[in-house]
Amino acid sequence: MEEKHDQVSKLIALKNYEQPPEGYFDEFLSEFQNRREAEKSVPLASRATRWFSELGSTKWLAGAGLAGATACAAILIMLSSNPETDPINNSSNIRPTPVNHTPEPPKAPDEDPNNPSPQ
Amino acid sequence: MPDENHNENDQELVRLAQEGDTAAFDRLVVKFSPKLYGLVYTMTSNREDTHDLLQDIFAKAYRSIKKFRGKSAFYTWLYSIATNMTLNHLRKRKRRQTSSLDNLDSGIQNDPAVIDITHQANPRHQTNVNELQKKLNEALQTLSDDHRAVVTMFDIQGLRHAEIGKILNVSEGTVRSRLYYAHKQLQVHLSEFIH
Repeated sequence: MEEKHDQVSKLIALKNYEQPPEGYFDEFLSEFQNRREAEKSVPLASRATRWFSELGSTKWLAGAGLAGATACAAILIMLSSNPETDPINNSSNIRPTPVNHTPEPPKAPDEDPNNPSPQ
Repeated sequence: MPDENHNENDQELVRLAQEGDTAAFDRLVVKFSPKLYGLVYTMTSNREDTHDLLQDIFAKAYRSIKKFRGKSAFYTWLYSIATNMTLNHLRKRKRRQTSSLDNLDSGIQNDPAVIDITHQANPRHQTNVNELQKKLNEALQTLSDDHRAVVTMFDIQGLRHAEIGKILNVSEGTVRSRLYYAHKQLQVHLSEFIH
């Protein structure tokens, strides 16, 4: 049994002799160097897209997290830009209601407010 | 596989590459591209895919080199990137089912080692290297991607069980088990070359 495993190993090891044509790796390096230079000038948006695509299966988790964080940030910005609705920092909410000390004059008993009598 | 001295050289090249020395990284590309080519080609059996994947693997390694902390050997880290990207590629390819596999490699027909082993394996027949290559490729393609990865790294690349375990992020026992079942399956497909 062990011997057969060894024979399989030896047969499979023959794949080691499979190599690309001569000069392939020189061209490969040149192509890699060109690509590296080209990538230096790639805009940030494209790099972010590539980074996202390289995340594999975790990209959906990262995307959901990013969307959640964006939503939270948007809510915070909205709240901070509208002080009337800020429940924490809005000092108007704790401002005491001013008390009107001036007494209103008493109304005449027969006076109709909708049909005032001509003077 | 790289020994202690090679690892020391790698460390120095990696350190320089992390500081932005592109020539140092190029030396790592020159050093590891033939081995990684063998790994990726055995996994994909397609030269175009292998070329594109290899470019992507080194591009990713270059972008991530600053994150390499040296907890493992550089080649283990690089092999992890290569294996993960190749396995992802194979999963996508299975969904698309459009890529064709190369039948044969034309470079090894006259290699003395190949002729010798095929003659030993099947002395009654004239050596038929083409047939052996075809059978080898077909046999490897019958394995699952995970099993083929282990066979490739152990039998072709000469990595040890523990190293393969680190690269694939599985236990050494899992590596041995996958190798055992893969060899059993390969025995069936290569029975005419085994006596």
